[in-house]
Amino acid sequence: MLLGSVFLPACSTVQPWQRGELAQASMAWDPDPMKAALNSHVYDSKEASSGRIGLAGGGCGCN
Amino acid sequence: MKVLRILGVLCALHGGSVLAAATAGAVAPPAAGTALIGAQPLSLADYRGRWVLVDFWASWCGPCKLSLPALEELRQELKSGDDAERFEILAVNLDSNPALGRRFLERHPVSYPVLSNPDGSIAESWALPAMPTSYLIAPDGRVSQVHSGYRDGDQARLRTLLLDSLKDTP
Repeated sequence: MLLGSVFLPACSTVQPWQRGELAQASMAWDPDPMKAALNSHVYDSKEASSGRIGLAGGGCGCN
Repeated sequence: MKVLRILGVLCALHGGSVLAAATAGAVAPPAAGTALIGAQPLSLADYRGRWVLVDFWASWCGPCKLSLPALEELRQELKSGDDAERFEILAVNLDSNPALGRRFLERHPVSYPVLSNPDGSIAESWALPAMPTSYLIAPDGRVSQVHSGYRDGDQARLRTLLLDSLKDTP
């Protein structure tokens, strides 16, 4: 049983006519790109880091 | 006995649907349901005796934005000629939300019948290889040609294919 469960497929093929579901916003890694950019900016500022994603920042949260 | 039971469970878990593809020469599987606009019953069987281009499309399918207007143009041309009664296009919309398909048709209107198949059951029984795909069905109900995708020049290719098919049959 254990051996069988190892080889059981955990995913199935998405058929061509089902691919519209993948195009929905809820399926995106970041459903809201603008919110994700803002969160990233705030994160960079709070961590006083720069260059994690996108352009470098000053760490003051003002740019 | 226990081994057989385990094997049965494994087979059931692995068992996917076996698709009988609508390939050239095969009898076209049924395609029936309600119209996307108006909800009247539509069936491929109603067009037996004519050449029918069955076109599968969806609003999220990029090439469909080109293929639907091209097919509409082709239909207008053929319907204005001597072959008007020998040819029809039957489209099958595969949007899981039919409202999206209707919105698409507001931007790209077509005069041919469009069948709504939100659960994709028709596409599954035809074993659709790609989006969009068009099947040319002969008057005897057999699949004559399968055309997958839509690229530049496909309108001319489909036109030639349809004219040749119509010319070859009385």
